[in-house]
Amino acid sequence: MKREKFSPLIATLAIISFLLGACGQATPAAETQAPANTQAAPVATEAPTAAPVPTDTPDPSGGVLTLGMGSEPETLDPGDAVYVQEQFVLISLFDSLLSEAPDASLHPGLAISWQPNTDYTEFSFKLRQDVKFHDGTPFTGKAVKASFDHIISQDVLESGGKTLLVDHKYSETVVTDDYNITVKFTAPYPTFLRDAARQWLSISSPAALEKYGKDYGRNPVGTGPFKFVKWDAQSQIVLERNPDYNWGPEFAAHQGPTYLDQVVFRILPEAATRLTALQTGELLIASEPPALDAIELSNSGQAVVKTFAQPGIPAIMMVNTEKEPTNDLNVRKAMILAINQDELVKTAFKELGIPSYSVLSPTTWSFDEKSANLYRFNLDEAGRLLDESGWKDSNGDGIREKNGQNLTLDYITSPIWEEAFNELLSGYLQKAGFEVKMRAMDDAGIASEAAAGKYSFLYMYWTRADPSPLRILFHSSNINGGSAYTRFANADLDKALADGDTQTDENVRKQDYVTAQKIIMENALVLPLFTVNTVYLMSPKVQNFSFDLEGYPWIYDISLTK
Amino acid sequence: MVNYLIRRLLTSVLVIFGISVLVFSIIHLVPGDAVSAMLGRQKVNAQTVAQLREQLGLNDPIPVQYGRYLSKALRGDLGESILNYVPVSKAISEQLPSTLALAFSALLLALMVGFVLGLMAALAHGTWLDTLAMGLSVSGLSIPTFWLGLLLILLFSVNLGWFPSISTGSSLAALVLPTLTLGLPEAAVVARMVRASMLDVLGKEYITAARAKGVPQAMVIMKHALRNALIPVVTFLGLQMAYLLGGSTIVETMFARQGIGRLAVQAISNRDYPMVQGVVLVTAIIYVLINTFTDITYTILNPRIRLK
Repeated sequence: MKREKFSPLIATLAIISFLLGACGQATPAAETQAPANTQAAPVATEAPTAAPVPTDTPDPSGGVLTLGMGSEPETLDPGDAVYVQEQFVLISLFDSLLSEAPDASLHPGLAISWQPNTDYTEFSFKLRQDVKFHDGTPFTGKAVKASFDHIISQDVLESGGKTLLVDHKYSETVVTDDYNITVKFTAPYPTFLRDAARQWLSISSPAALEKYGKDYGRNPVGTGPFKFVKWDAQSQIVLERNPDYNWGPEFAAHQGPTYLDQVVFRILPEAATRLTALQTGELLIASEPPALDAIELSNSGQAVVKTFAQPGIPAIMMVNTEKEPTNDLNVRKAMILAINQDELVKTAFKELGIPSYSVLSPTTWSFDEKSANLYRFNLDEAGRLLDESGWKDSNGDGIREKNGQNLTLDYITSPIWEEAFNELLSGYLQKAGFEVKMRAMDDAGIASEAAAGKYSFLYMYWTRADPSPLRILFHSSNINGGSAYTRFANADLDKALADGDTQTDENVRKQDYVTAQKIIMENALVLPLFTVNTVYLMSPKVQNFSFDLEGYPWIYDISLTK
Repeated sequence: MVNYLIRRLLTSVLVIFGISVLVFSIIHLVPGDAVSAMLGRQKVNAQTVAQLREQLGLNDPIPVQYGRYLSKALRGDLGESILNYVPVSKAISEQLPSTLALAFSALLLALMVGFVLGLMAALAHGTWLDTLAMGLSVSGLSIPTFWLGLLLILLFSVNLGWFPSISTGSSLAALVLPTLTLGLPEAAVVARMVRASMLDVLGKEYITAARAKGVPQAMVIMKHALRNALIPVVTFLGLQMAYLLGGSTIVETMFARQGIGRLAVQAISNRDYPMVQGVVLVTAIIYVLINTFTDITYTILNPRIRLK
C-alpha cells in the first residue's frame, strides 16, 4: 500500500474509477441504444449466466452479502440518479417496465407486453397485476405516471432519466385503467423501450414519492428484489430481501425471492482498505481492487477475480483540435503513434489490462475494425510526421521546437490518477520529442479549464453497449457548453452522428457509426489508451455471480456457501 | 470567580462571532463567480444556476446576507448541501458523534497511558524505567499515524482477526483500532509532558519543605506535586483535543469510519460550500468551547489564576 493512497482525495483510486466523477459526461449514458437483438453481447470473461439448478424455494438462511464500493451515491431516487455508484444500488431496489438480458434482448419487467406506434412516439404497455411496492401499496399504471412525472418535475434538476425524457420530448403518461398505460412523446424515440429497461426510468412508489418529497432520495421505495433498510452516510447502505418478490426477469437464474437475506454496500473509498477488508472477511466482494494484489490473491486461491470489459467508448484522451500544437493533424497522429498501448496496459494493469486502438471498444455494436487498425506504435513514423510539420529538436534538449516555441502538451489531470500511469504516458510522448506539462487540479478545476478549452487533451470514457454517446462527445453542436472536447467541426461527422441517433433502420445506423469512427480516427481526434475493464474481487463463498448488460453485478441471483 | 467566568464566556462569544463572519466570507472569497465554481461539472443548466443564486441569496447586499446567515445559523439551520440537498445540520449531526467518540476515546487512552508512563519516568528518574518509558515515547512520537494504523490492521485484523479493519457502526470493537492509531502517538506526547512537568515541580523548594515536614511520599506526590504539575498538561490537553478532532480525518479515512473529517474533505473536493461552511463553523465552536472549558479548569487546579 502506498502512502499517497491515504489522501482522502483518492476517492476512487483506480484510474478506471477516476472518470466516474471526473468527466461529468463520462458516466452518465443518457442516450439511445440499438433496438434489440442486433448488438454484440458485451463480453464478460465469465459466461454471463452460469445457470445453477433453478429452484423456486431459495435457501432461507441466505446470509449477508457485504460489498465494498469506492464512491458513495448522491441519491437513491432513480429519477434523480446519474452516476455508476447509484445505478449499482438501484438495480437491486427497483424494477423497470422492461428488463434487458446480458445478451441485450428485451424481456417483460413490470410490463408483460408492449406496443409502440409506427413513428415511435407512443408506447402502450400492459402491466403485471401481482406486484406490490416495498411499502405494501399495489403497483398500478398510476405509479408509472407518477414516476415519469416526478423525473421531469422541478424536484429533479439534471439527471440521467430527465435527460432521456426531456431530450425526447416526453409529453405524458395516459393511464387507461390500472393495468394499461400509454407513454407519449412529441418526438420519435426509437430506443425508448431499451431505455425503459434501465435503472434511470425504473418505477417508484407514488405514495413514497409524496410522503418523502425532497427526502425521497434517502428513502427509496421500489418493487425490486431487495428493500431499502438504511443508509448511514459515508459508511454503508443496507438492503434486505423482499420476501414477496415473484416478478424477477425470465432470464434470471432463479425465480422468487433472493437467496440472500441482506446486502450491505460498504462505502470504502480506499482500494487498499477494500482489499484488506476482503482478506479479513469483512467484505465478500470488493469492487476495483488494486490490480496487482487482486492477481496475487486470485493466484493463491484466496479470492476469485471477475472482470467485465466495458463496451462503449474506451479510455481515451480527447485531443483539442483548436489549440496549438494539436491543431495540426500530423502532431495528433504522432501522439497516437508514440504510445505503445500494449506495453502501457501491461505495466499499469498487468494481466487485467486490455489495450485500445480506436474510439470504440471491440465489444460495442458497430465497432469498425478498419478504423482500429489505422495506427500502431511506431516512433520513427511519429518523428517523421513531426519533422514534416517543422517540429525539430535543434538545440539537442530532447524537446522539439518550431519558431522558438517548444512542442508542449498541456495535460490537466486529477490527483486521483495514479502517478505511475501519468509518468508512463508522458514518457512515451517525451520520447517522440514532446514536452508534457502536467497540471493537477480538482474536478471542478478540470471542468472550468475544459469549458474554456485550455488543455491539449482530456481523459474520457463512457460505458454503453451502443455507440450513441459518440454524438454527445463529437457532434459539433456540443463544442460550446457541451462535452465535444476535441472541438472539431465536420459536416460529415455531424451528419453521421445525428443520423445514427434517430434512424430506426439497423443497417443504416451501423453504417453511420462506421463512418463516424473512420472520420474520428483518420483525423486523429482521440488518443486511444485502454479498454476499461471492471474488476471485482470476491471470496470463494460467493456463488452465481454474474454481470448485467452494462457490467453491474447482478446480485439477485447470488447465493453464499456456508 | 463569577466575574472571571463571565469575562471568559463573553470572550468566547466574541470569538465565535468572528468565526461566523469568516465562515460566511468563504463564499465571497472564491475567485470568480461562486455559483459557477460551486457547480463545477455537476448536473446543471442555466435555470439551476439561477435557482442556486436565489437559494443562496447571492443577489442581496452582503450585510443582509450575513444577517440572514446568522439568524438561520442561530436557529440551527446551516443550509443544504448543494450535492444532494441534505440539510447541513443533519449531515453534521449524523457524522459528529462518531468523530467525538473517536477523539474522546483517543484522549482517554492518551491520558491513561501517558500518565502512567510519565509518572513512572519522573518518579524513577534516571533509572532503566525512565529510559524505557522515554524510549517508548520517542517511538510513539516518531511513528506516522497512517503507518501505525496499517500495522495495527495487519496484526489485529488480518493476522489475529480480533478487531474489524472497517470501523462501521457504533460497536466498541470497531472503535479499538482507530483509537489506538489516534491515541498512541498522543500518549507519547502526554508522557513527556507529565514527566517534564513532574520533574520540574519535584525540584521546587516547597516539595523539599513538605518532605522535610515528614509528609508521606504518596501525599507529596498526589497533593503537592501532581496538582501543580497538571496545569501545563491540562493546557496542552485542550489544544490536543482540537488536534485530535482534526487528526481524526486520516484515521477516519483509513478505517472508513464516519466522521466530520471525511465529511469536510468530501465537501471541499466537491466544492459543496454550505457543507464546508457548516463543518468549519461547528468545528470552530467546539474548539472555542474546549478552550473555554480548559481555562475554567485551571481556576480549579490553581486558584491564583482566577484572581488575575
